[in-house]
Amino acid sequence: MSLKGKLFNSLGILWLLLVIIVSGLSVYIGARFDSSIMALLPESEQQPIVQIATEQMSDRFSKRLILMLSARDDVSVRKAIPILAHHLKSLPEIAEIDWQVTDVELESIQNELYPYRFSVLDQGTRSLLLNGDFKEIQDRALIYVYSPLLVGKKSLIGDPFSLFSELNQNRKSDLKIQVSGSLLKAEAASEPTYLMVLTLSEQPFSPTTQRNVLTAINSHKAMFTLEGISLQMSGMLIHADQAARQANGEIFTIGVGSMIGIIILMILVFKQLKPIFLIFIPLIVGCVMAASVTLFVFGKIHLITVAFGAGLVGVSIDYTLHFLCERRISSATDVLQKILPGLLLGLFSSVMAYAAQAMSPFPGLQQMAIFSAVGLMASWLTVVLWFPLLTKNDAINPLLAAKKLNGLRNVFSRIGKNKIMAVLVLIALVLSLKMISNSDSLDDIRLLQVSSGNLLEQEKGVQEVLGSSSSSQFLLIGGSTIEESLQKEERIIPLLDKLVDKGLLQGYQALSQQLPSLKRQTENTKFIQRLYEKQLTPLYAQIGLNEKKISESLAEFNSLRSFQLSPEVWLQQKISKPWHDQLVVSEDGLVNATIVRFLGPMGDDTKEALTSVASEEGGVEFIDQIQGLTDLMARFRAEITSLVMSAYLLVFLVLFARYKKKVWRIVLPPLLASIFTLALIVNFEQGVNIFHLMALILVLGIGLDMGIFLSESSDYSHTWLAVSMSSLTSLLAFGLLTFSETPVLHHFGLTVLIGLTLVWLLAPMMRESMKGEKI
Amino acid sequence: MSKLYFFMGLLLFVIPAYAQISFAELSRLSTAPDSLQGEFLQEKYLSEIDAHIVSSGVFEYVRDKSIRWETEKPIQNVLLMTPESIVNNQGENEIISLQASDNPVVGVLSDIFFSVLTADWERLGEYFILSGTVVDNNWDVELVPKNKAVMQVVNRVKLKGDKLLNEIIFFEKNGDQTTIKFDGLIR
Repeated sequence: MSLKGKLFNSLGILWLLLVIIVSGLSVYIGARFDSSIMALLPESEQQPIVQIATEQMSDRFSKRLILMLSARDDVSVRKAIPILAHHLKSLPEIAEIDWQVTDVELESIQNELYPYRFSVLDQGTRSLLLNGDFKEIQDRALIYVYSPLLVGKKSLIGDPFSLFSELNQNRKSDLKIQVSGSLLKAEAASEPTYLMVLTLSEQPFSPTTQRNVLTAINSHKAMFTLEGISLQMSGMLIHADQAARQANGEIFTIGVGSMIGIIILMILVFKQLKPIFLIFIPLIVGCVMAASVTLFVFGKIHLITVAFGAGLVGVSIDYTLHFLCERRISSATDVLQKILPGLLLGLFSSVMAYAAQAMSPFPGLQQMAIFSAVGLMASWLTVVLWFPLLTKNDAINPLLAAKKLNGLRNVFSRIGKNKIMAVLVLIALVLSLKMISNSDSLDDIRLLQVSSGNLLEQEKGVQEVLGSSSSSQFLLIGGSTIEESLQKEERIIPLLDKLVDKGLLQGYQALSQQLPSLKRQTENTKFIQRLYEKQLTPLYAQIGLNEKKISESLAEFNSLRSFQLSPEVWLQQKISKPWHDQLVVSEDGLVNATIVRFLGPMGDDTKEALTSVASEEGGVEFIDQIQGLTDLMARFRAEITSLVMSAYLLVFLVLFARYKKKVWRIVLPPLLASIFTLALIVNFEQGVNIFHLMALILVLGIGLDMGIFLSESSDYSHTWLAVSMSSLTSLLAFGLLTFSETPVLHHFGLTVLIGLTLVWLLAPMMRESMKGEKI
Repeated sequence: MSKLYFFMGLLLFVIPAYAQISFAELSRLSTAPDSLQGEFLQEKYLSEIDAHIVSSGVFEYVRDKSIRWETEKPIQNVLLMTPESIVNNQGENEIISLQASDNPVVGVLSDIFFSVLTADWERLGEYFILSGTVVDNNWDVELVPKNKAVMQVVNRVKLKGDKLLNEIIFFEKNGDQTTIKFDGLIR
């Protein structure tokens, strides 16, 4: 054996060791998967406070799972709730379950604010005081005294003007829930309906969390159904679960489908079983290495990275097929020498294009870039280092299929020889460019959602009964202290009230309604002092109480007048719990913000109005997460386009250095195919998003390989067979994704399907004429 | 000794009589009219200030629709209760307005008041446990809330009546009492 051969052998063994170590290490660490769409998106570039607020609001939505149990019979639902709660409590995935409020708790919650009755006022009382309608407040107090109803009366000495009762009665809760017999009852439901709010201990995107929580709930659900109790759910968890299961299922079926297709193709062409095994070796090594390295770098692998990445690694089938076809006409020692320049250039162009994505700010794209670049290189090394050994004793045996296919290829006109064809391509190009320039882009983040109609219906039902507010659109009111934010909020509220009057807003929930600024509290207490001065004597005279009682009452007021509800105290109170999300504090405590939430759906004019409200005060921002993410997708689509284009410019320069004037034969087919595909996509799908572009990168990669291998080849027919087979196998692998229900995968698949077909058709039209070829 | 036996016998005799009273029997004795109007005299005892606060006026009831509770003395005030809301009017002004949809207590409260006022025993049975006596056609009933939420509002309710309700006494947890007597009832 030559020295070179020995070197190759030892490199091959080294590579084997590396593969074993790396994959062993990743098995030891354990693969962790992620399926959150949000994990694919970049960390927000906004100010930290906006980021914290956004996270806080989306956490509140994503970590919360609301269960709603209802039946005709009140008693059976009431029995079912504790059974379910106790079972779920034992799950480590659930951090907290809110399902009951004991009477003691209820009473203490109701009385928490009593000491602050002179500083925290309801809006109605405050506006009466502002208007100077002191007499009206006295009249209201008298109505309480003489009312046959018993509600809300506290103490004629401590609170003669029923300020606390008013506060309590006008307190609108976040959700339409009433505590009924210690359980949480949904008031707006037509049948007796009770609910349970679960807070997950982690994000709902881990498959284990999804499985454990949902299995526990569903086992009860089946039992409840027999008893006539229906169970409805609302929360990110069920959507995440469905999305993950759908993606997993599709990857499996599509994977099996393409595998069978590829095997049949291999048998037809090679008429042997060995190449079928050989073809999977680089793929498997590539995917394992890619997954391991991604895991080392990111700690977790996103399911979409695996889906796309495995696809991109699929380009490596080019190398395998190129080797196997060439091997049929060359010996094991010669084959590599012949095809190595082509293989190297092919690897270079693909890795360049994939690696360019690593510069994108999307963590998802970075993952995919690493995954696919590593995967490709690993597959490539496997082909180059192992295949000469693995095929050492195989005979030279030209393929019949190559001859047949070559005959077919000659039916195509070559563009250099056929002017009509050239003109047609030119017309198609002009039309395509026009279509692309006229198109609107489709960057809506909601494209990424995959939830079924049934789940969305359930979700809508729960939201309607509870009347909860949006967590993705809100006003963020920033300040250097909580006090400053609350003061700003109080100045903005009259503007929001105007929007409600105009019908632009259904309603809002502001923190300052629960926790007024200290400035406002001081103001309130001053008003109450004037109220006592003016109306206490007439009120007591009316009821027939003497001077002694007046001084008792005044003494109580004076003892409490300095009591103010500070944010710190308020946060300790149980009554504040539903509102905690609306207070945002940065980690260092230097930046604070409050959140005003909105009820009901929001139109464009409402959004505009809220944006202009936000501009009234410094540090106030209207946050619209959906719009924000959609804008972001569009920006990064543009960014990726320029990244990939510059990557290909570099590739073009390298190719130009090697091929000089012939370079157009290599570059034009994939370029034209990409432009035509883009034009078709624009027409079929009414716009292009980032996932179409990802697929075009794959098309370019395979297209360039095709051109490079054909140019480097000595035997045109076997190379042509190799690149045709790799187009076909890639079509089988990714084209099938067209049928996916997951929009992301569908976009990808459709683009590959159209693009690769076009490359395959265009490449022979631009080929160089060979010796002995007709036309 | 024989005296003790006699007492025990009396107790045994009396207890079943107490226990026997039921919502069904009360329904037989009293009528739940479609509409009712009359005068009322209300006396509130406030334990905190040890004072009796007296008011009087007229009321008008239409089944399932509304109760109009007009206090004439010492203040002028109209309380209009519907199953959905409680509104207080003084002259032209709406002083207190509570919607059942905003404030669930309102729903329960007006429900109880409606039922008590018209001796709707079936509905009262949803909220209270009943005990009481009947002498001739006069009944004297005591209601204890089943539900702790109702208990927050009222501890105990006493009702007296014959064909129609004559007197209600609400007992509150803090020792307050509200006695309402009816007169001149017209169906």
